[in-house]
Amino acid sequence: MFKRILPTVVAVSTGIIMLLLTLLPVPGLNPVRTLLLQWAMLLGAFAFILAYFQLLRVHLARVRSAKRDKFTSLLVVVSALIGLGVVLTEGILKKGGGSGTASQWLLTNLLVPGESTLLALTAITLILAGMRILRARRTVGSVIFLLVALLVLLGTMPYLGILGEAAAWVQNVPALAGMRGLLLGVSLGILLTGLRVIFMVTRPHSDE
Amino acid sequence: MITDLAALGFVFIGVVLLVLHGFLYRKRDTPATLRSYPVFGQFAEEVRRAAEGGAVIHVALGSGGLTGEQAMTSVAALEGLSAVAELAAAYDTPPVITTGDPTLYLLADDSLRRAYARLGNIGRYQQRTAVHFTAATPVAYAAMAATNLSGGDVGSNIVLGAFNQELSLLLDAGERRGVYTLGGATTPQALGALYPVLGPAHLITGEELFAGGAEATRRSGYWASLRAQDILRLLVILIILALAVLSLLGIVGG
Repeated sequence: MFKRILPTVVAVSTGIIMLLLTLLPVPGLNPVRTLLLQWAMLLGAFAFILAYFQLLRVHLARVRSAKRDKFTSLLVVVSALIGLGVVLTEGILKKGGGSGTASQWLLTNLLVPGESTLLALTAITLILAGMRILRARRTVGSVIFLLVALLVLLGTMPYLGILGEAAAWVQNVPALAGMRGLLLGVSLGILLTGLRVIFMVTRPHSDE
Repeated sequence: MITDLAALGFVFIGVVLLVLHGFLYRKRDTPATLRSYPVFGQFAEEVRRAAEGGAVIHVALGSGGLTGEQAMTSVAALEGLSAVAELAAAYDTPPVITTGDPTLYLLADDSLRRAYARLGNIGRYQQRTAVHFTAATPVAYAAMAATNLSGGDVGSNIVLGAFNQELSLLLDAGERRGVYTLGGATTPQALGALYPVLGPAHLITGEELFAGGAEATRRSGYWASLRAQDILRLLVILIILALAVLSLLGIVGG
């Protein structure tokens, strides 16, 4: 009963209520929608606590084992503990909760620059992947992929006249059309997956 | 208001089609199939290979949390990987599953735990740490998941779920270590990173990701939903074409 029926009833009824309240906004029922969303956020926060302990568990096990990457795991454990310590201390001192100066400093001076650097690296890794493609698969598709990537890259440079126009056309016509087609298909997939959950074809929330 | 009603109309048509095809496919003697998605079959093959060769499979599920817009993408990815979970439980060789969202970590852990429980082997699963929450932001997740490939014991890398261009960090790490990679994504940015590495034969593109449940479970309800998806797609195409013609004739639009 508690393992099968209850989770299913909760999931299905919440799904239907949220779907209807999103598509048929009835002003009087907005607080219900907000309350359900708040509950979801609260559950998400508890999931964070569980995931945090799992992260520590995995990396502590790696530190104890004789495998490679011990140092990375040690760094993860130390930073996770420092991060928790800073946020908890600030939360207790501030009494009202919320993030304080030190946690903001950690975010803006460590996390944001680090992530920006990694994101910039993706440009390099994408170019490397593009170069590998011709070595591994010399197909028509691969050649077109590389030529278009090259054209768009060159097209971003100034004073290239017709090349710039061609790159803009590629981005605004075939690439945009393909992207919209892809996103429309994905949206339909998302809709039907949601309906599968509501109709209990998929039951990710309970033992089947 | 009109767009909300149009969306509700689409949902209603989706519901009718799903119920209708659900009944139609249920009555059939043979399992319903629409088309083949061989990549999902390769996932199970990788588990067998890993069990025989002693290698580890790394499964990257991405950062699509259950409280966000990517929730259904992550649910569909897990459906597509259900055969992997069943086989991994049968061989007792659980893959290393990494997630970039705590709610997805719980769902993935539960999915693998249930596969072990169905075989009456839950005790074995509790000794494992198969599902890892890796980092809370997509870029940090990709970078940390990449470190899982550096151990040398990872034989294959399955990527399936909500990703963006940060996926190229993970794919590059796999390429450098010669790890066999397969999978798919729904965003153009992630597909741009996946295509050069995987090629069309090993790539699950966009909406194909949502067919994973049907291919992995062979259950009629999943095929019915896929059929409903096909019909809705046709409807969208017809609407776009009709609007284009009406726009050319100057009846609608500017």
